[in-house]
Amino acid sequence: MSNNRPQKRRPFPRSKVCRFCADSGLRMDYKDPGLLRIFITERGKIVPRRISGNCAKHQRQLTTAIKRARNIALLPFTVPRR
Amino acid sequence: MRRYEALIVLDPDTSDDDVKVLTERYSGTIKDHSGEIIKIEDWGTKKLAYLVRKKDKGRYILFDFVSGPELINELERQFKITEDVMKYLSVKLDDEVDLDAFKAKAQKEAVEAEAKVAVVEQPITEEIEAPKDEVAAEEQNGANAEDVPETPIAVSSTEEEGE
Repeated sequence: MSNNRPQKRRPFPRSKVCRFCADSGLRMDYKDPGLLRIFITERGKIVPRRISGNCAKHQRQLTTAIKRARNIALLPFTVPRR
Repeated sequence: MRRYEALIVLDPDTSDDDVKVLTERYSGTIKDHSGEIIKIEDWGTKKLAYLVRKKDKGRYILFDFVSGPELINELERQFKITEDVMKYLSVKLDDEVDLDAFKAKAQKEAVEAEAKVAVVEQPITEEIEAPKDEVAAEEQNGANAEDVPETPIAVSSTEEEGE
């Protein structure tokens, strides 16, 4: 049974503290695609909370900001595979 | 009164004159509906994240204003019927903005900004003598500083290999 094998893999690095809580000067804004780009994958998906380490409140604000930015073509909906 | 923000993306081929005409038309609409414009920003032509009407660039214009909710309907109706507006997004920033208080605050900030400029100008004349020693010290350090970056680069590359 493969389940008995000890799990070694921890592929992605995780940051534990919410960046927006740590730095109160950092404000979520759909007009700042440079900041939002940190929180999307190279395929354009929103990075989940368990990986980005954001708190629930800021993750909610972040998703609305990203979705607004997508709407106005500042961020991609998807990045097509070549 | 509420505070809104409308961001529009214009066709990149729109001439500067037409852009001016359009911004004036929209700011006119805002004023007609007893709205107050806080600022209008022209971000210039930027690359779009995806194709819109087969164009990969767009001219972004941002309107920041205070008005009642009826204006948004009218403004968005105008955005829709204008050919040059490729995309628009209006966002409510704040419910319940007191226009008079807002104006007073803006005025106060303007005065404070002027005061700051005046304050900043004074110390400059006083500090002219001081930095000379610092500059000399920095020049001496400069020779050593050039060697420093090499080691961190080497360290980071080994880390990547380790992963």
